[in-house]
Amino acid sequence: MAPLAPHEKVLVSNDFLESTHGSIACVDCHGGDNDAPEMAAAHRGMKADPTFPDATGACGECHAEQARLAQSSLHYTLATFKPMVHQRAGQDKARLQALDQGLDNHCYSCHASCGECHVSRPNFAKGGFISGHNFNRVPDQTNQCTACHGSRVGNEFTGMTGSGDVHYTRHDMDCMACHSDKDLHGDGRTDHKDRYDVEGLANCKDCHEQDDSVEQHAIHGDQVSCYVCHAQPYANCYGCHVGLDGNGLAYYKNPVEEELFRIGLNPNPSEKRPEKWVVVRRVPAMPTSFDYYGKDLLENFDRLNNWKYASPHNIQRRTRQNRACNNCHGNEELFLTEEKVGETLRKANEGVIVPAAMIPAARADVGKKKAKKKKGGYF
Amino acid sequence: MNRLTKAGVFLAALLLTAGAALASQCVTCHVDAEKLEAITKTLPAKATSSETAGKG
Repeated sequence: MAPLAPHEKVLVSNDFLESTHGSIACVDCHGGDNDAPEMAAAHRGMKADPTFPDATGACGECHAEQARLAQSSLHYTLATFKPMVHQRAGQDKARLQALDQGLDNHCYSCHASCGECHVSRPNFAKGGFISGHNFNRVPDQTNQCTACHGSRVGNEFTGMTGSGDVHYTRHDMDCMACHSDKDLHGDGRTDHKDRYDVEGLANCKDCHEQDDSVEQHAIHGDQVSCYVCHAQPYANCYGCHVGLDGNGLAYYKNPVEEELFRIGLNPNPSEKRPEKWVVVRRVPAMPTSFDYYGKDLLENFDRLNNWKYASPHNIQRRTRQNRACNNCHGNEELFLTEEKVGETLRKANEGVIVPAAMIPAARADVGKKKAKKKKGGYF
Repeated sequence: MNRLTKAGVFLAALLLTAGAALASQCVTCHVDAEKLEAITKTLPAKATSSETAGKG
């Protein structure tokens, strides 16, 4: 998405000034000096986004619950990043510090505040008011949600890659139709190990109760995730590296991307996600991702898989997988087998790799057309 | 209303008007697209690394 022109980013509309939020003095939220005669002095000490890192001052007076939850929302805290990366690191303090510097320079610059979902484009998308500083109760899918979640979720959902998601392309549902405020504002917990641990996360079954009158639903039950049958190929990334350029500016290089579909074993079956067979997506993390900050900082990379449980946002009722039993059964191509992972990452992914012997055998009793009954004629 | 009271009312009105004007100092610039465009043209562009490559 092209960034807004610099002046558009801070252009306040007249209708905002007549709104409830517009009746609050600018300096009450943003600080700065309203009496200063010059621009530099007027902006001194000003907070462009008064809702980050603490929303209680700017939002809490009226929106106490939301401001409280924001403290633990993964959109704010990215709280699962560091424990995940640290699991792959060693114990040496100096090396952990170097790694944390990398996380701070790159990963932690990516977050979303109240303002970045309700007023402006997120910083990741270069910011700027989306509606003249008006506050939108519901985030704007294009300017806000997919401005960050674009290269995978956004492209898959809207059909920039594949056929899009039927919820969007056919039923005109946007992100917020499934992802409620409970899902996005956080659940108040601070002990999430994984982003899927958030209470109230969107789930297919919120709308689609399992209907066992559908033969394949009755057969596969909760052994196979919905995505295995109803998702299309999705983006997989193979080698993210981060660093600082000659001018000290942060960069990332994520040069290899591939659209494909892989069925793996569920690495962490739980009450909420009990399926044995799930869709797995290759995430960009590599043993060498932080080498700029120190050699082999992720010396225990093998402790976690980098083919991750995935929920591609490109659902269709009919997909290549569910058109015929043997499109999956006996079709090794779809499964994440050892050869597809590569030798250096096999140990890391042993919990998700499907041993060849586990791939369901092709069914001999299907694929043969039953002899059609001859229709009786009128004569 | 005696002269002193009239002066008081006038002074209060003057202060209120001045206060309202002060409250809209930020707004004076931030609702004026042309003015903002002229100002932003004088500001340095935020630098980003040209080495970034691929999808984030």
